[in-house]
Order: sequence, then structure tokens, then C-alpha cells
Amino acid sequence: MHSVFEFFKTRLCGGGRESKNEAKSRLQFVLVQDRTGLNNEDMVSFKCELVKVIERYFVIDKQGFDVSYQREGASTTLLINSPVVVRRQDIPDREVEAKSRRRGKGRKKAKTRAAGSSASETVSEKSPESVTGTGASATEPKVAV
Amino acid sequence: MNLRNGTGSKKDMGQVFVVTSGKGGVGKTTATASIGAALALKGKRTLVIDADIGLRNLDVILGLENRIVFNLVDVARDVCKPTQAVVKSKKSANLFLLPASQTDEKDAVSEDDFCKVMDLYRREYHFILVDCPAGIEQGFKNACAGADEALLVTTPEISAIRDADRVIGLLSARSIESSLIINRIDFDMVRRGDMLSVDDVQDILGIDLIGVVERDENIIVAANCGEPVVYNTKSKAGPAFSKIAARMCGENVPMDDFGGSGFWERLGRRIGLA
Ligand SMILES: Nc1ncnc2c1ncn2[C@@H]1O[C@H](COP(=O)(O)OP(=O)(O)OP(=O)(O)O)[C@@H](O)[C@H]1O
Ligand SMILES: [Mg+2]
Repeated sequence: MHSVFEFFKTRLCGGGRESKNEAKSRLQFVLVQDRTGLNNEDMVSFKCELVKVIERYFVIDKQGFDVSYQREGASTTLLINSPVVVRRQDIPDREVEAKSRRRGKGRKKAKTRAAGSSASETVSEKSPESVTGTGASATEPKVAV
Repeated sequence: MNLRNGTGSKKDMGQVFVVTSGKGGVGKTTATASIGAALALKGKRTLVIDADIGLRNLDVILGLENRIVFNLVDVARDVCKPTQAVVKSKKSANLFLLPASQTDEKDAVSEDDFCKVMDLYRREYHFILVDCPAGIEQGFKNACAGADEALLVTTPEISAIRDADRVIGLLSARSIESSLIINRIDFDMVRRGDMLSVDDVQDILGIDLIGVVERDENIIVAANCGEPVVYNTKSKAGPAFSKIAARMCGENVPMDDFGGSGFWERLGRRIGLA
């Protein structure tokens, strides 16, 4: 049903390209860099290092892994969303790799925005077993994992 | 919008709002003059301060350019008494202007000077609005120095919003809370999907909205005559600025229905899809 709507939206509305949507996604991309003060390259290496740390304790779905920097009122939250496949201590070592690969394949991929960069990814669905955190209420940016 | 949670002694002091944007030319001076005039019309003793040192404009927008004797820099340097530098509006007994100097000395004033000047006037007014220069350099830092809150002006354009976001960050690092004014919006373009909607801008910036002002030729007419647009109650912009002033006074003035977003989004929302 939703796709039918999208179809009409794009086909009937003169190609349907509303330029404001482009503005919005480009803004969201550039604001991640502005807000974190990290350029694209730094963000990519920040994510890689985070993944490494988290993987010491959990088997995670790297496709769904995402970092965002959100402001609401006076508080800013660094939001790290990392879908967890399983706790590392729950499975025998040799099965870890296989399990990670299997789960990663089946999972819905995160939506990628303009410029195709990994720094601009957002997770469109949050799995119930995600390692995630919100709700910091301080003025200083907080890290929530 | 929070009232200043100051101690008892600050209770009867005016609120200082810095009107800022990051990007130039988005309507800071227009907003300062219009909201200042609207607050004065509501009976609030209001001082508007031109913090755009070297590029003053608030005086001409208010039609007070030929009454200036002293200015903010003179007050900071004790060249004159605080009351001597203030110019009274022709149209309202409650509206006053503290002009900027026209010197181009970059370091004419410091942040400490601004704090000092705010404290000199604070007790005498209900509201003080500081018209901030564009950018995030010293002029911006000065204008923020004595401020309790910020009115963040932006237009629904990508560069203005990006700069606004940067400024919100800088303000919150100074513990200054910002309220959003979306200026120069064109609802025809929003309906066509070629301009970000009020909701879009609010979503992106994540701060409270205090008002929306449409693109309106009457603003230029008003500027030509040196009369704030709020006196033109038939214009679109005048009443919009008056509503912002009312909200600043704590009145509960509901936001208009801005027709939200583009046609398809509205249709989608109606049929429960988007
Ligand atoms: N809502 C509006 N509709 C139409 N024109 C507007 C509107 N708001 C502002 N303008 C016009 O935009 C121009 C810039 O406005 P203004 O001088 O208030 O901006 P500013 O942010 O103070 O600029 P600067 O950064 O240079 O100080 C002016 O010519 C003004 O008349
Ligand atoms: Mg100006």
C-alpha cells in the first residue's frame, strides 16, 4: 500500500522530485559532521573503533550499526545504535564468525543518504535487542551506548 | 521559553535576548526592530541594542538615525551616562534604541564591556533585545555576553539552517537557550515541495519554535519609511511579529496551521500512509 502511494507520488507529480527533500537529506548529512566536529574520515574511523570495542563483548550486526548526534532542547546525545546478535560468552568461539555472517545477511539494511557515505547512515528500524541509549539531559554532550 | 531562574534580586530585572542567526541577511535587524516595537505596543518598556559595531542599521530601520548623539561604545567607555546614549522612539513611549558606533575598530568593545552595558540597563527595562552581527566571531561573542536567552532567526534555506545549527551549539555551550524564528518562508513554495516546511526546519534544529514570518514586501516598505512593520496590522509580517512578542510575554498564542508540509505529505498523512 505504501509503495502504491510512493508510486503515485513520484509518477503523477511531474517526476515528483520535491527539492526540499534533497535539501533535508543533504542538511542531515552535513550536520552530523558539524555537530560532532568530526569529518567523514574521522567518523568512519570512530565507528570502526567503536565496533572493535563492542565486538569484544557482543556479536553485533555491523550493517545496522549507526552513530548519530541528536539534539533535543538543551541536551545533546551521542546515540550509538548497535544491534546485538548474541552475547559473546554465550556461544562457543568457533561459531561466532558464522553466526555474525548469517544474521547480518538477513537483516534489513540501514537506509543510506546522499553521497553514499557510511557517516550518513541511519537505522530505519531498531531491533529490540539493540544496545542503545537516549535521554541524557545535560547541556554537555553525553555518550550513551 | 524559560523565564530566567535568577535569584530574588534579579526578579525585577529585564530579560536580555540576543537576536542571532549565524548567516547574514536572514532578518535579525528586521526581527529586533519589529519585535521590539511590538513589545512596546504591549506596554513593555523595551530597549533594542545595535551590537553590529561598525555596520549599524537598527537606527535607520526604526527611523531614528538623525537623533543619535552617543552610542554603545561611548557607554562602555564612560564617555557619557547610560541614559544619554539611549534614543527614544518617535512612535512609542516604551521603545528605546541604544545605537552602535560606526567606527570600524575591530576591538572597540569586549565581552566584559557588553556584560557591563547590559547590567547598566537591565533594571530599567522589561525587555532588552540585542541585534547581533552575522557570523560567529568577536561581534557574536560580544552580543551573547550579557544575554539570558536567544531568538534564533533562520530562513528555510539550507545554508541558513546549517549556520543556525552551529550557532545553537555555541549558544548552548554558553547555557543560553534558543527559541526559533523562521523568517521569510514562502508557503507556495512549501506546498510545491520546493521549500522546507516549518516542521522540517523544527525537526532538523530541534529547538522550540516561537514564531513564523512569511516573506512579505511590506517589510521593505516599512524599512523605507523607518516604521516597524508591526504598525501595519494588515500585513502578514506585522501580526506575525506581534504574536512572537506576545509569546515572549508568556501569553499562550497558538501557532497557526502552516499547512505543514508538501501536498503529498499532507495527503499521505490524511490517508495514514506518510
Ligand atoms: N519576512 C521578510 N520578507 C521580506 N523581506 C525580508 C523579510 N525579512 C527580512 N527581509 C529583508 O531581508 C533583508 C535582510 O534583512 P535584515 O537586515 O533584517 O537581516 P540581518 O540578518 O539583520 O542582516 P545582517 O546579517 O546583514 O545584519 C532586508 O532587506 C529586509 O528588508
Ligand atoms: Mg542586521
